[in-house]
Amino acid sequence: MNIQDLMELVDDSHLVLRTLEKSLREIDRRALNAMVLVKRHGSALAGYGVVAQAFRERATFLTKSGLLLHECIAPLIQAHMHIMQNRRYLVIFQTMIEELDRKGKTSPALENTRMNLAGRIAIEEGCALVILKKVIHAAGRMQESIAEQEYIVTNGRIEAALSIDSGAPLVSVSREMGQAVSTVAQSIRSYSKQLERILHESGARF
Amino acid sequence: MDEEILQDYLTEARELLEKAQEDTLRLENDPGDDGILASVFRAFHTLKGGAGFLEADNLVEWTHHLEDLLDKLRSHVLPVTRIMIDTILNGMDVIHVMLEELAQGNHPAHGPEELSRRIRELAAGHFPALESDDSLLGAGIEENGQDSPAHPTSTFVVQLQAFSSGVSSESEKLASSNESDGGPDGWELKLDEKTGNHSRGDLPFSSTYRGTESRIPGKQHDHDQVLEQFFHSISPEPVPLAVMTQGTGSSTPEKTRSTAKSPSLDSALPPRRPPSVSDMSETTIRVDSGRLDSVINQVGELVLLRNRLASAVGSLVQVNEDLSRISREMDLTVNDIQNTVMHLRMQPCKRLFQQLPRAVRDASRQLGKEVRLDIAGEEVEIDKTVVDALSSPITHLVRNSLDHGIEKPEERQSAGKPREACIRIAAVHLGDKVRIEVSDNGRGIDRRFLVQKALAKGVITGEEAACLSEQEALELIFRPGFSTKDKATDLSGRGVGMDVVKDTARKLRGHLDVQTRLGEGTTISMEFPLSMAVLPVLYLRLRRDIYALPISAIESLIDIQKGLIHHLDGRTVYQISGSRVTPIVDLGNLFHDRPLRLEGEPVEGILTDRGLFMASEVLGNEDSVVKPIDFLPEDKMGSWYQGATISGKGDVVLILDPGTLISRAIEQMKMVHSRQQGIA
Repeated sequence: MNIQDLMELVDDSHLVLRTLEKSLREIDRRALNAMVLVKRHGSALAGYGVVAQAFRERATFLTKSGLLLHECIAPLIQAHMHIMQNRRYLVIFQTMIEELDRKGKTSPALENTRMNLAGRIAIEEGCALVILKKVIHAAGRMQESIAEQEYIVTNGRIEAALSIDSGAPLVSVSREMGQAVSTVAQSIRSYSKQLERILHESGARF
Repeated sequence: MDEEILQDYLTEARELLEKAQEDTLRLENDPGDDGILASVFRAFHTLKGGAGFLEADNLVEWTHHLEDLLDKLRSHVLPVTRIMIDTILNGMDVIHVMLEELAQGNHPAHGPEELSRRIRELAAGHFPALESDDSLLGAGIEENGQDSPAHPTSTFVVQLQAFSSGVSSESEKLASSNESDGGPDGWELKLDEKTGNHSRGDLPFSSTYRGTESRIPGKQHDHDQVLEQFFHSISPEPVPLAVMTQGTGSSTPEKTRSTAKSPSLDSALPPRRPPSVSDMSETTIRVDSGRLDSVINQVGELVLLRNRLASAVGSLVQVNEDLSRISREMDLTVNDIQNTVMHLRMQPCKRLFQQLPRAVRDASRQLGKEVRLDIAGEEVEIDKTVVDALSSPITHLVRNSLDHGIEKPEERQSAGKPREACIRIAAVHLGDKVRIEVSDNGRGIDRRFLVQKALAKGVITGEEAACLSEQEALELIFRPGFSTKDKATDLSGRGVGMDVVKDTARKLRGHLDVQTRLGEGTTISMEFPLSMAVLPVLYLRLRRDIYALPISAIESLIDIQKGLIHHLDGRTVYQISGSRVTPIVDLGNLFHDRPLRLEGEPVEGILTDRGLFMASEVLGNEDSVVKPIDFLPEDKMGSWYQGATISGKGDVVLILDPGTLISRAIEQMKMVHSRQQGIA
């Protein structure tokens, strides 16, 4: 991963975290709105109440998944920055060794340091790969949660259609819920793709 | 006196009395309905029987007189007249007082002697002192078809002629000399001399009183014609005059029964049978409300425990499927119990409205106004607490509407309106709320007049008046001590009442709204939660503090956009959509004297029916049980809260009162604005 890729990862991670934070708040708000609506209609919307309750529970779960993702992204970036830094040092040491070699000199200590650094980079790349897999796993879990959330939204739409006589704006509430979930889904999907690309490149390197 | 029997009797007696009053008012509009007459008679009979068992002799005596009168009415020995209806209603008021005395453990005192005498005289077919004001109900006779003011003396003659042999000869003489003596007034004066009655106009008859009344003119008709008209109109079939005259005075009830519809005919009436006691006992059970309250309280505690269990299970690090399932099932079961128990306390609004026909009848007659009362939604059920607490306020609203809102018939006519005004009482079920509306098609409320009066009476200052919005000007009517009337009457004008209405609505967690259109009428609507036992709330976080807001007040939760906050005349408002703006209240500013920073800390918007609240975070909802708080003075911060509750996490959480908070915030904004203007 070069600096360009890293900066891209940083930007995308920041964006996805911001989107998650905003959209998850939005989803939670939508869920609460639905529950308020249900409560205000007494027992007439009990069926939709179950959906709203499930939506909120999944929203809480989604927020937890988002936190997990959030927790993994910073170490991933940190690990890659370390790797890049050490690679830079490795290049410097390599240049110094080649310079000495041209002058017909050798420095075993310098060679030893270079070897150690290369070893450390390999370990760090291993760790980064573990973290990356963790992030991908977290993103995967988020996608699963989102899929469940989308399923609940679909149920909500069916329930809304069934309760259309109640006069409650359930259809629009369900649509708004769907929109909020869809925003998170898109954001996570494109982020996952980027992570998989990094994984692919990392895999090729390793 | 056996306490248990007494309590049973009192409950039944009050129900009987309420039903009898309702029936008597129906009787006024439908005097020919034997079923109603029989029902009222039965009520007095049952009341008397129970009173005898309790040895309440004065009550026995009182109900006996009324029963006697009703017996004559139902057997058509006497006709139903307005005076009769008035007397019966007054008699019921006395019974009500006697029942209260019984409830306090005392033997009821004698009823008022004058009223007692009047009842007895009426029952005996004598018509003392009041006939100048009386008229037959449902007779259906009009003079030249015109809706002219009544000539009560004419009616009096008919009654004397038909039912009081002792006075009939005198009245005939009077009637024959009527024309030469200057018409009905002179005739009445003469009659007063003869009968010793000098109380003409004791109970002023409202010439505008609406109903099936009719007036029998004494000028143009001779008595035979009048009698013929009268009996034809109240009798299902024409009754020969000769038979009727036989039945007067000395006639026995048997004789009368042979000609008019007899009580025995009741059995031949269509099957309008009320549920018998045995029917009722199979499906209903009478339970002391105290016991019911205990059950409600215990279910409240169960709800709180359920919340705590759900919260504890939810916060487990390791998810325990069994525990989660048990928690969910318990949640459903408690919900079912809660709903069932909630319905135990529900009562139809009919109980709340049943006093209104009488109130409207009496007040409209007193004020000389023609008013029709329309009641809708009697079957809508609401918590007993609301029914009990709203009884006086709703009567006050109706009387206020009658006194202030409804115009005199002449005024209405000149304004192009029908002479008869309409007051409409309606109960509507709206999800978790019930809306009760009192509307009239009267003159409406003049906001400018209100502000002028408020200024003149020192209720508001000139500065305040300048800042009042239209709605705020309207809400001046709810200020304590404020009245547009300079002189208090029996009905209104003391400036107490509307503030009590508002206070009652607040205490019942209700919402009060006034809508008015000048010249078209006013609607005062009150919305109350369906149940007072459990209050669904939304928990919110304000920095480190947790508060709750009643869900019934919440419209939605919104993401606050800085660009949609506007400042108008020192008020901060939020643009919800296109043209809809609402006051915005920063709870941080209100509670911590430190506004929430929109871009510096998390901020959530809670849109209520009164305004938008800014809080740090919305945490979730729960069904809570309200515990009263008495540790904060009501005039200070105490009024900001509806009470307190215990959250699922076991914390005591204060429940905010959105209406009071909005008013407080607006006041604060105004103060800051006027201070700033002063500095400028």
